[in-house]
Amino acid sequence: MLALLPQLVLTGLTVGSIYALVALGFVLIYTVTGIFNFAQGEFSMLGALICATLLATHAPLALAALAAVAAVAAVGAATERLVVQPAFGGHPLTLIIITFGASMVYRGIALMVWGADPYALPEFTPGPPLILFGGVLGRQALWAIGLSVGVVAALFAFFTRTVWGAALRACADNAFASRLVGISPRRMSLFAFTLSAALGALAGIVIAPISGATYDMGLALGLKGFVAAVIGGLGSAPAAVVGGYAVGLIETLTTGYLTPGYGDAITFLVLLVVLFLQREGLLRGARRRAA
Amino acid sequence: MDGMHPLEVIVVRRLVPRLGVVLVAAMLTAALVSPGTPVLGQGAPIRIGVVAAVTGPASSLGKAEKDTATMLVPQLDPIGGRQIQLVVYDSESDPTQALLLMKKTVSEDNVVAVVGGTSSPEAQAMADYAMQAGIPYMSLAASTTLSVPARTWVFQTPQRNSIAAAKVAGYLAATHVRTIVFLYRNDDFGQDGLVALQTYLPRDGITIVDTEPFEATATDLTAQVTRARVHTPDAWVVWSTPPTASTAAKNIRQLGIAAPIIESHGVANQAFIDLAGPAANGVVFPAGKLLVVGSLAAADPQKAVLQRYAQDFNAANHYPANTFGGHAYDGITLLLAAIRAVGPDRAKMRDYIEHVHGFVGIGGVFNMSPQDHNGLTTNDMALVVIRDGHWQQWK
Amino acid sequence: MARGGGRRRTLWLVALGAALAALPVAAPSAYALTLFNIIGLYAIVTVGLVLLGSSGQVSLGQAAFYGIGAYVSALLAKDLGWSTLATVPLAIVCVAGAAYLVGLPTLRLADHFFVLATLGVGIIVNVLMIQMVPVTGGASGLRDIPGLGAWGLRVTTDRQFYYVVWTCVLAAVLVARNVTSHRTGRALRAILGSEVGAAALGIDVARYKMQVFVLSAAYAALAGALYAHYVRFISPSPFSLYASLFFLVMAVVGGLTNIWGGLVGAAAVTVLDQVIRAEMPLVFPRVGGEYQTAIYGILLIVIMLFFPAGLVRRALDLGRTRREADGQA
Repeated sequence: MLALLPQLVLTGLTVGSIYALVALGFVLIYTVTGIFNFAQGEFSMLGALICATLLATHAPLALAALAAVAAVAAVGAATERLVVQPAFGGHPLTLIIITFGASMVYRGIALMVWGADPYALPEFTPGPPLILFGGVLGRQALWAIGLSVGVVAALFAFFTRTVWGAALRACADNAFASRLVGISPRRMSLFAFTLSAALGALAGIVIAPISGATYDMGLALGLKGFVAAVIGGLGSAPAAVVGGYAVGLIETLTTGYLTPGYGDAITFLVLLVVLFLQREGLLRGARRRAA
Repeated sequence: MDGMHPLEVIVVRRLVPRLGVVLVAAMLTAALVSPGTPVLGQGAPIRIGVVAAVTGPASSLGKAEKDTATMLVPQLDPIGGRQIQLVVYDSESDPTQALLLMKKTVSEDNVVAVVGGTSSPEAQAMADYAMQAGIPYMSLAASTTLSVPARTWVFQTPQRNSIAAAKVAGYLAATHVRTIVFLYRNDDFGQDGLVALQTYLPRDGITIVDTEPFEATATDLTAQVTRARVHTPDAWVVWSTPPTASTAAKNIRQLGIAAPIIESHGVANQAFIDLAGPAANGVVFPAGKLLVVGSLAAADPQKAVLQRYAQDFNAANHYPANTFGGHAYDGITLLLAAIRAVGPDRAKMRDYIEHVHGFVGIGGVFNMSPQDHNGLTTNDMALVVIRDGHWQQWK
Repeated sequence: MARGGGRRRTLWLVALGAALAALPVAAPSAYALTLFNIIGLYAIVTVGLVLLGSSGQVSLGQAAFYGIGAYVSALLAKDLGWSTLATVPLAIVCVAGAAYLVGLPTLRLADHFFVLATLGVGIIVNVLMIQMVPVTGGASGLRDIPGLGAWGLRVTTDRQFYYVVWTCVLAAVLVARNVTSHRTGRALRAILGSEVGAAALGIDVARYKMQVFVLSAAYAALAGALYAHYVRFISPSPFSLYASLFFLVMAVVGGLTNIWGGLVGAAAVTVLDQVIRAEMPLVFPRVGGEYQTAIYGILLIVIMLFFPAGLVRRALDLGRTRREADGQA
């Protein structure tokens, strides 16, 4: 039984890093604007599909990936301006349904443009998988883990070392007070959406070589990322990442050790338990809002 | 209301709810007044309803079905001086919608028959209504229970899941496999496949040593494969469609497992090979003969029909044809043949289809009977093996 | 309430009742009747959601209660052969009990987390429906569910079902109005404004919240059981997260203004969907479901941008007041 553990942990970390990236996007938007962005998963889907299309034109991978991320970041910005801004300050429920509507629009457009069949993306560095601690780790999986760690580190540096980062954090902490010092919540909202969209796109491009890119991949990704964000406490970026890895590991370990069909149910059961026991999530980030 | 202009108050509190009611009433009226349903008489068009899951989880099948219908439209010659029309709806893979749209197409569009029900839950709901309304219904889902036992008005054009399973069982027996692991998608397709294999495999003395379900949205199946490999099966059988079907193959090979991989008829498309990469090589699966039309003998009755379908579909829709679209093709062409033979009368069409023999379609050569409303056998499927990213018939 | 107002209201209700009764005669097609029947079922669920919303709670798990109601009634009627006159109420009671158990831990959570908890419950229930194959038939579903009937009478046509459903809708609306208009209603509005404040006034917040939660679940169960005996085939797919989201959309589009908002919302959203389809059914190449999804999304956004009215608006204002009172900006 224990022999399975290394493999399961490696797989759990792989999917966990994707959930972490999506969760990061969620938390970013939530802390700055208070909105649950239902379209977060679609950013990942668009990133993957746009990258696939660009690669079909024989563009080099790095260029295609960068262009795809930039394009989706633009989509995120457009979403914010066109759809979120007009309802700014509205009831959260209104905004939830608006982002839900946006996710439907993106899915519909994706189905129109790319059709219903999955697209393949090549691995970043093709080659045989690595053997680590008695388990197998695909090279793409290594990229996934590496990138998510790298992104978190970069975001950390960004938030603590740059003025824009400080402004975002200020806005997340206390929108009213940050307005007093000249930070515009509306501009921060735009920034948050753009950055989250870019993160989502990155997640999609990294996972697509492993699992394929389909027009409806955003739904499940968004949901898992969302759960990860909540388990982490919706409070801060590190919390989201921890939540992401937690969900990935829980999912894989329950599939491996308990019965597979109930994987999703167990993940949500854990979510419920976390909610009941620790209302503020594992890292108690949300308490900042109340305090 | 802080910050609300008095006019705003009036608009928001009073006008909007009333507007809402008026809007709803208007929409209800609009939805009910259908665009001039012609009374069916001399010269009025003959209509066939098509309800496919163009969006939703079954869309990779449903879109091809819808695109087949649109492909056929320019080819529909009038029969008996009357135009043939195909009325196509999207059921969104939702059984409630499918039923509603079927009722709509029967009562509003006055169709003589319905083709549709991409996924089994949709098809079940539609089949029940077909029995109530007494209208010929060609279902496009592969669930065995749709035509076994046979119901008066319900016909099935895809190869039943049980036929595909029987084909796989035959292959396993021929290659002297004794034990298998069954990885399956946790929905009607996968669960039906499990039931079918559990019926056929024991007859050949093959044991299923482990079954592992997975979600259609799963990104990685290493956990399931890791769990299953402790049983060291002779072969791995995967019952799903891309992308998870490809992910399964990739994960199995990644873990260094060399045992043969057998997949279901759900991987009869290029996407499987693209997504699985080198892991696709050596995979064997049952499929309609559309996939290997090039290597069919010239004398094969299906060859000409298959080639024409593949050509026309690609030309009209700019992507390669697949067997699922072919099921819709068979449903529609069977109905057209019936109309040509006995006219647009529901009962007569039903009788005609029930006794059709040697009807050459995409899914196979149909031989229906009162007990068999599917009309296909294991001979209508080929075993395909993937070599160097290409399909070849397995001999 | 002035007597004139009360009489006018009764007149409106009678007029509405007469219009509803006459509808099957005016529009007898199977399609129209089925559409109204489905709207009726959704309206029952949505009214329940609005009821829940009147205490400030939002649920993303109604489809679970809808589904459990459907499966319980279907299984009792099909496998045990009991009359639907017994199975439907039994299903409602079962779901009410389940809702009570679910509500015990979840109603203590703060707003956002309550929504998430209901989301989680919805998904867990859906997974169970798919996994418990020997009981529920798994993903392939349950066939041959008996129709509604008792004492030798059977509900077989769309029109007969129409009368059953819409009687239930009217009953549901009247009960809901009753709940929200008197003492309970005042208590709920106080809770909506501020739970702390309401508790300070001596209102048993937990009890009222539980009452509306269980009631809203019971509504969903009624609708689900009726659905099962109408379509006579059920599978886990109509009871997914997507369905819960749509129930919420119906409730919010209707405005959550008052109980009638639930009815309006259910009708508006369902009809909108059908109207979009009606405009592109025939033989236009390339146009199909893909466009419908996108257009539907756009319309949802537009509706929410221009009509965020009713209870949502009121809740916003009250919500703003509440947050200001708690010391946040």
